[in-house]
Amino acid sequence: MEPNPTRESAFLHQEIAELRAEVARLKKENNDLQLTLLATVEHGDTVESELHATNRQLQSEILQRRKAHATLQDILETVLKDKADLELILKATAEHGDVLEYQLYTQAVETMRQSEELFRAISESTPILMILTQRLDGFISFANSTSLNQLGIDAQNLSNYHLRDFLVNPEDERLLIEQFQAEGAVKNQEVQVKRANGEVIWVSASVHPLRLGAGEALLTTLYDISSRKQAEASLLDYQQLLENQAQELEERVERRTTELRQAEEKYRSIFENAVEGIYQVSSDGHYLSANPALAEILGYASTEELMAMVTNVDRQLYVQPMRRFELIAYLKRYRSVSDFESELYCKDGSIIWVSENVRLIVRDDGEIVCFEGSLQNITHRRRTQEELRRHRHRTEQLLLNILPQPIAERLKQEEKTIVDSFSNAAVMFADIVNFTAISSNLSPEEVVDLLNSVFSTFDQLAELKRLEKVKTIGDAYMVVGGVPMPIDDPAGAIADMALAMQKVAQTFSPIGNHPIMLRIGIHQGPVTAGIIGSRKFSYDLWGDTVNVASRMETLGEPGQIQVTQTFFEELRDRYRFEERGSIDVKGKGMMKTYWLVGKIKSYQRKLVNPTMSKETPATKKILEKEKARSIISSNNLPERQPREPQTAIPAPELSDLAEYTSDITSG
Amino acid sequence: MKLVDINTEEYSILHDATSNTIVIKGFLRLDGMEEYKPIMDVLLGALENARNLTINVRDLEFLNSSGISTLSMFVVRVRERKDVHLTLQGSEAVLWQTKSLKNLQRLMPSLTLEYI
Repeated sequence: MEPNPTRESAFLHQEIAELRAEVARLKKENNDLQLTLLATVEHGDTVESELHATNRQLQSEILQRRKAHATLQDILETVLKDKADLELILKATAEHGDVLEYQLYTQAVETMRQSEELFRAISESTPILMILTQRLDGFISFANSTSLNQLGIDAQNLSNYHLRDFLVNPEDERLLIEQFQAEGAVKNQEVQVKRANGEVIWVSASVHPLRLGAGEALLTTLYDISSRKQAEASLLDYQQLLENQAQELEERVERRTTELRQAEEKYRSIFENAVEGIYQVSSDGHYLSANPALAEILGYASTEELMAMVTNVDRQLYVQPMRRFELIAYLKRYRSVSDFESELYCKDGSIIWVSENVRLIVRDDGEIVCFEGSLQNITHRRRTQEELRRHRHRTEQLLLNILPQPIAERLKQEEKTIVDSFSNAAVMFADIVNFTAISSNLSPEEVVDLLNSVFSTFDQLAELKRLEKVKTIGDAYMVVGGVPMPIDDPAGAIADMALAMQKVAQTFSPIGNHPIMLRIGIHQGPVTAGIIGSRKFSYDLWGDTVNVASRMETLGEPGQIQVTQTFFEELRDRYRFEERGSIDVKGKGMMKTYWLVGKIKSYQRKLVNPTMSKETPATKKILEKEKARSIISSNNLPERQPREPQTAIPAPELSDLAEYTSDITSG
Repeated sequence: MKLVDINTEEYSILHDATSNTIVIKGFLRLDGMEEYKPIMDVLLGALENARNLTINVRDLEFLNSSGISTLSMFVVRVRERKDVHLTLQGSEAVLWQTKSLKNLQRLMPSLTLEYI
C-alpha cells in the first residue's frame, strides 16, 4: 500500500479520524457498560431477595398441597366405598326388580291362562249362543260350540257368516241395531232364529260392545226361550180354558143350588117323615135336632117335648151309661159307628133296644161339633133273635142227647152215612127184672117217671165213666165202652159201670112187692157203629159182639152180671168173678160164662175217703135228689129250659156219684 | 320414645320395643324413595339406642324396587353404626326374599339372616 505518500497521508488522516471516532464510541460504550453493570448488580440483589421470598412462599404452599392431597385421598376412599355400596344397592335393586318382574309376569300369564280357561269353559259349556262380530263389517269372528252346532256354522270359515243370516225376520236386525245405537247395548230382545236343522226357535238376544285391541267388536248372546214361549202360549190356552171352566162352574153352581134347594126340601121331608129316629146331639149330651120319629120311638109327644126333657142323653137315655161312653170312644177312634145296639129308656120308663148309626162331626181343629145319627127300634128283632138263638141251642142239645158229640159234628158237616168199625168195644145190656109185673101196679106216668129216674142215674154213671149210652129199648139199657171215642180201658169201665148199676138198683124202693133188680150181660169184641137212614136216625151198634152181649143179659139172672170168657180173661186179674159154667147160647152153641161180682181192692182207685162205709149218707143223698129232680122235671116239662139238659148234674152230685162208683168195688 | 307404628289396608309396620323387633307385613309398593321416608323414619327410630335389632319380613309378600332400596340404605346405616347387630328374618316361601335378603347381607356381612 505505500507507493503514493500523498494519498497515504490523506489516507492516514482519514484513518486517524476514524480511529478517534472509534475511541470515542468505545469510551461511550464503556461508560454505558459501567452504568449497566452497576444497574445489574443492584438489580441482582433485588432479584435475589425476591427469589428467596418466593421460595419460602412455595415451601409453605407445598405443605398445604400435601395436606390437601391427603384430604382428597380420604374423600376418594369414601366416594369409592359409597360407590361400591351404591353398586351393591343397584345390583340388589335390579335383582329384586327382576324377581318381581318374573313373579308378576308368571302371575300375569297364569291369570291370563285362567281367565282364558274360564272363558273357554263358560263359552263351551253354556247352552247360551255366544257370537262375536266385527262392528264395522258385521262378520263373525268367534262363535262358541253351542252356536256352531245349533246354527250350523263352519268353524273354519267364520267370516263367511253374518249374524243376520240366522234371523228369521230380517226386520229384527234393524231393530237390534237401532236399540244398540240408542242405548249402547241391547238387553233381552226376543227374536226368532233358524237352527241348522231348520227348526225355528225363540231366543232372547243381548248385544254388548267390546273393545278388543284396536277393533271394536259386539258380543251377541242368544238364549233359547222357546220352552218359556211355549209355556206362555199354553198358559194363555190354560187361562182361556180356566175362564171357560169358571163360567161353566158358575152355571153348574146355579143349577146345583136349585137342585140343592129341591134336595133340601126332599131331605127335610124325609127327616120329618122318616121311620128311623134322626138326631144331632151336642158334645155335652143335649139334642140339637131330632125328628118326629125319634120322639115317637122314645115315647114323647113331640120333638119339642123330647128336646126339652132330655138334657143329657148319656144319663137319661142309656140304660147302661157305659154303653154310651163306649160308643163315644169308638166314634173318637173311627169317626163313625154302625149298628151299635144298646138299651134306652123311653119317656114312660120302659126299656127298648135300639140300633144306632152315628157319625162324629168335628171341626178342622179336631174339636167335636156334634154327634149325628139315626136310630131304629129293634126291640122286636132282638126278641125274635133271642128266641131263635134259644131254639137253635135247644136243637143242638137235643141232637147231642141222641147222638155222641163227634158223630153229631160229622152229621152237621153233611156226612150222609156214618159207619165205623171198632176192634175192641165192651158192650153191656141191662134189663129191669119183672118190669111188666112192676109196671102193672103203676100208672103209665108213674112207669115213665120210674124209668126216667133209673135211666137218668145210669146216664150220669155212663158219663162219669166216659161210656156211650147207645139206647134204651123199653126197660132195657144199652151202653158201650170205646165207641165212638176210644178210651183207655173199655172193659174196666164197663165192669165198674155194671157193678155201680147193680148197687144203685138196690137203693130204689121196691114197687109193691117187687124190688128193682137188674139183669146185666157183658161181652167184648169188634163192633160196627154208625147211623143208617136219614130220618129219626140214631147212633147204633151192630155185630156179633152186640148179639152175644144181649144174650148174656137175657140168659142172666136177677141181680147178677153175666160176662163171657173173653171179658173174664181181660179182667180176671183186676176183678172178682165166679164161674157159672156152660150155657147154651142160641146161634153160638155152648159158652162158658162168669158172674162179675166185684173189684179186687188193690186195683181200686182211691177216689174217696177209705173210712166211708158201704151205706154212706152220700148214696142216699144222691138218690133222694135224683127222685126229686125227676118229679120236678116231669111237672115242668113244657117250660123246661133247653139250657139245662136232663143229663146235667151240679158238680157236687157228680162227685157223689164218683164216690158211689168206687164204693161199689168194696162189695 | 314411643315409635309410631304404621298400619294400612295393604301393609303394616309394627315395632316391638321390648324385643327390638320390627315386623313388616303385607304388600309394600309405595311410589319412589320419598314415599318410603316414613318407613325409614320408623326403622331409624328403632335403631337409636339399640344394640340388637331384628327385622321380620316373613309376611311381607310384596316389596317393590324403591322398597328394597330403602331397606338397603337402612342396612348401610346400620353397618355405619358398627355397634349394632342386625338380624333379618324372612321366609323361603316368598320368592323375592330368597334372593334380595342375601344381597342385603352383602352390604353388611355381619348381618344375620334367618329363614324361619
